[in-house]
Amino acid sequence: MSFLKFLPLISCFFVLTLGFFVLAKKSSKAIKIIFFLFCLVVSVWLFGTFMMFRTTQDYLAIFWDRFIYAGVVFVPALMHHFSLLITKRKNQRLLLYTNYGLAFVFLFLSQTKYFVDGLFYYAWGVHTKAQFFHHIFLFQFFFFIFFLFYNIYTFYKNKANALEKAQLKYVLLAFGLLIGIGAFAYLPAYGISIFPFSFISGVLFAVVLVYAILHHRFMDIKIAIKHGSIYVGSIIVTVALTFSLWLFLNKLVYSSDIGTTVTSLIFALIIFSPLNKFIEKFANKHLFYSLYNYQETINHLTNKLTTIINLDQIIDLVVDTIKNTMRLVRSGVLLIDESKSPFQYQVAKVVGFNKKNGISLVQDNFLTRHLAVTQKPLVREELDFLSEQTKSPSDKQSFLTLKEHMTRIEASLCLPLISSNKLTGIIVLGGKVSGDAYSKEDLDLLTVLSNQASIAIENARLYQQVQDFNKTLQTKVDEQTKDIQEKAVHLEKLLKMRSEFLDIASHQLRTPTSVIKGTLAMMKEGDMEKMSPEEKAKFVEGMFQKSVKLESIINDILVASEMDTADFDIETKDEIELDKFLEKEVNEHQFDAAEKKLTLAFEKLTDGPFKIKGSIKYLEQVIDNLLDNALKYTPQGFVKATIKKEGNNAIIAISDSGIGILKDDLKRIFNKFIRGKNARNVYTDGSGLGLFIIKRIMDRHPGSKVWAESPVRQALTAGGEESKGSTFYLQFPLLK
Amino acid sequence: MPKIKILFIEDDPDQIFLYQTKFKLEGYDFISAKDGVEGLRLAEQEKPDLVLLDILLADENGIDILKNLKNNKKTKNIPVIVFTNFDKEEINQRAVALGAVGYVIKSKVVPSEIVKKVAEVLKL
Repeated sequence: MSFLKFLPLISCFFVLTLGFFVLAKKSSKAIKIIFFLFCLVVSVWLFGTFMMFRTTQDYLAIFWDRFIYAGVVFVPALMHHFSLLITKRKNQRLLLYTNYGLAFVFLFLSQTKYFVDGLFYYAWGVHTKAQFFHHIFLFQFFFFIFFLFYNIYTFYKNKANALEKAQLKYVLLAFGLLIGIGAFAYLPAYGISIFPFSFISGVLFAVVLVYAILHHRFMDIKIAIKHGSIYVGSIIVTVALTFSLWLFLNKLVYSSDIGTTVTSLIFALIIFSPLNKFIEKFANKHLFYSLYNYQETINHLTNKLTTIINLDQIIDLVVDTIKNTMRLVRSGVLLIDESKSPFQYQVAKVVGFNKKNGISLVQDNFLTRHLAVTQKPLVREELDFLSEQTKSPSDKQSFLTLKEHMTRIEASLCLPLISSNKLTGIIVLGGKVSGDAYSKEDLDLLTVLSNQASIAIENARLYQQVQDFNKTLQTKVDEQTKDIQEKAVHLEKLLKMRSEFLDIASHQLRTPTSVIKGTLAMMKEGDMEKMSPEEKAKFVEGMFQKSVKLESIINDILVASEMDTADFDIETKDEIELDKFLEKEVNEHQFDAAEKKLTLAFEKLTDGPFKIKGSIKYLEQVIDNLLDNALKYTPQGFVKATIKKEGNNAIIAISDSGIGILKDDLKRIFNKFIRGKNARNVYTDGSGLGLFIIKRIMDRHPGSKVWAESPVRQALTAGGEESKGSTFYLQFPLLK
Repeated sequence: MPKIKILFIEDDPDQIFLYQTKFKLEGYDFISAKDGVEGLRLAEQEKPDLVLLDILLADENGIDILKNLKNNKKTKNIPVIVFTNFDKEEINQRAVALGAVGYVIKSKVVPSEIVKKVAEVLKL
């Protein structure tokens, strides 16, 4: 198998490349030099082995094996040294110097026949025989390998932070593979024929450590793989796959025609986009550290923040930037609302977290106080350490409670938002998609980002306050405007009512005036002399009636306008025996009734007493008006006034067999200047104020009311048809 | 020469008596109607030379009666003077727009003046 013969050389190439790669990275840390030297001696082993296996001459085999040991003798010392550096151990210095000393002793001895000499011949090749000092060297070799693992393991157990732990796992794995598999290479030196597969350990060692570098920044090495590189990678993979397909298809059809090319191109077009996504996803998960560029991220965020003033958009941007840069599972922003006392947190945005969980984090004020004082990111992994450091027992417990809390809601990091030295909110972050811990560089970046965010958020909040204030102002203005409009409408209505009042009042006043004036003018102009005595008498009588009417209208208008004012009030102090009062009023109208040939009756429907409180003067006017109306609008038949007790009320009913009231008019008959449509047919000069005045007077008597019923006609008829008349009711509360 | 005939559409008997007396003394033929229906009927039948129309009638607005008079072929050429105590510029304008030849406020004129106005309109 020719390939296996090249395995040591391939391993050598891998390890040496890794060594040079680490060395080439900026920073001159000792650990990199030691690691490079280690890789160098391992390469010497692998290269020497390759040469030894392919040689056909015994002396050359021995030469190459001694070449191997010129490198391998340094492996124990370099591994020990490396373990000290990576675990930051300060002791074991003497041991280290001894180790290096031994390495030089063995270097010298390895070139003598007391170390390796003679050959074993195996089916797969030749190998030297181990001699005395080789045994001792093996002892030293395994002794210090034990130190390597011991040092790393104790450091891992006791001191390492999360990142270091992740890195150390890979270091242990890499060295475990290298030694665990590589050590089999010693066996052929002791006559044990084992197929020399152990050289694969160099490849494995290199691959594991490269992964540790890419994924966990082993030895602080960063590799910047940009999105562009992923794109290029995707193109390369696509081209490779497409080319393979093209070759395969060509073999299948034994010729390269246009069909295979087109098929391959279509295949390329189809797979490119998903492949690119897949590689990016893979890189995000496994090559995390390489994917963000510190400066670029900050610039990007800063540039964007300067263009936004809307609070929600800023929060979105900050959360998205952090989440995408760090590749986080969840993140959220809590803002302190100072307008409430005591202040409250409000959830500005959460992705992945439960809203309630976010708030629960700040329920006790410990986290708030801690962040306000330290103004630094708080990492969950550090809470145990903080708890140990603090002297106050209550703080100790608080740190542990906070840790439990953060663990429960799967929050890994709390970033304070600080503005003018005051805590204005908290950015809560969950773990990374990759499951890694936050590195120091992450925290530096997040601190810068959160500072930028706090300023932008504060500005946005101030802006929002101004806007809210504007809105409030606008609302107030709107309210006032509406109020003014309403008042204007009301005033307009009042003005219209006043103008209607004047229109109608002036008409009512002018009508009798014009008759009186006209009659007098005719007298003055001598027309009277041309009239018959009957005409003259009717003439003067008409004028007299109009002057009586004029006086009554003037009177009604004066009373009505007095009652129309807001402060119109009636003193209702008189004790009135309503039945007697009504009977007296009825009797006073008997003469008028007789003149119109109507019957006017009074009837007490129940027993009294009918004692009420009211104003005699005004109630006289009420009953007088109602009886007048009844007589006036009843061409024939009767008018009847009754009184009865109903519960605690006295009810007066004045009914007639007159013209009745139209259904439409019943609703408005008590309004100012409203007369029944049919009223003028009977009596033209009504002021339209009588019922209005009655209503106002009754309204001023507490607990009293007036209403009308008319079971009559639905439409006006021209002639004087029969009607069932109308009834006006007055209700008064009785005195006890 | 036949007498000039005046139709007075008015619901107040006192006023009808007053103006009827005056117009008859002046040599006019004077008839009256107490509502729009009767007014329209009399205008058609009696063919008066002029109508005096009150605006605030009991059951219908005088403006409607004016419209009816002007929409009726038989009566549309009879001159109408609105003769009322309802003093409102808008109503005045509407009446004129509908074809009334005058708008006279009763309380502002004495009977002899309305007689003079009628003579003017009829170019007597």
